[in-house]
Amino acid sequence: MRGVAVTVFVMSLLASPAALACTTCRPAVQAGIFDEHFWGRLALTVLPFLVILLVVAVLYRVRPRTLPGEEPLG
Amino acid sequence: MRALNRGPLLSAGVLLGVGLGGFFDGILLHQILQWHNMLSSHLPPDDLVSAKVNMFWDGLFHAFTWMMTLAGVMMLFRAGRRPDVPWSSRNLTGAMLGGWGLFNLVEGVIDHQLLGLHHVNPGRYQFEWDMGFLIFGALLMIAGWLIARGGRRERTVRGAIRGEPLGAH
Repeated sequence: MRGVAVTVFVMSLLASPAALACTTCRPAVQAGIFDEHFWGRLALTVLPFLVILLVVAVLYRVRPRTLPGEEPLG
Repeated sequence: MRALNRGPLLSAGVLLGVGLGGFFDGILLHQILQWHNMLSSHLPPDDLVSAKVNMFWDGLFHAFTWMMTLAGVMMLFRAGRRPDVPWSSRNLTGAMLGGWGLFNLVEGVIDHQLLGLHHVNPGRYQFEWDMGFLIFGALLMIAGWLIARGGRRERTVRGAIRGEPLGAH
């Protein structure tokens, strides 16, 4: 259900009047975006962000070393 | 003396640095200088249609960058409400610089070196520009680590600042 909502939202953004500025080349642009490479290109675009989120998750969860005189975190 | 946890503030700072570093890349290198686009090595923007397809993928890149920034702001807000997180400028500044450097390193290695989606400044010296991008990222990470290291012993939590009477500072 959430996936459908996201797809509808993205498609409505792409179909907005602002995206139709180039009326003559619009079909060619849409064909260039939504071709057989679309999902692969999407995966490649998101890949660096996934790696970064993994690093941030590790940083968030790592237990800090306690300094002298400190009680360890529970 | 109870131990404090810098993790939530550092991770918020890293996300903010990644987001702002991504915007710096997108605004300066994609839009102002127009050195490259997201897919410019696979789909050279040498006609209007190819330029607009690249613009779409640049837009998605900026959308993910915006999400990183928003997540960083939300995590910073949550860290500020926790009684076990030190509210430290050094930790936040260091983490933000480190996040920018992390963005350059991860994006540079994956998109420029491994996948070849685009290069920083394509042409005769593209390898040198790509290496410079990575070195700049590494320097940012080192600078961020050194600054955040200086904040290891900071113990003031934001709750304590808020709890003090007016005029205490």
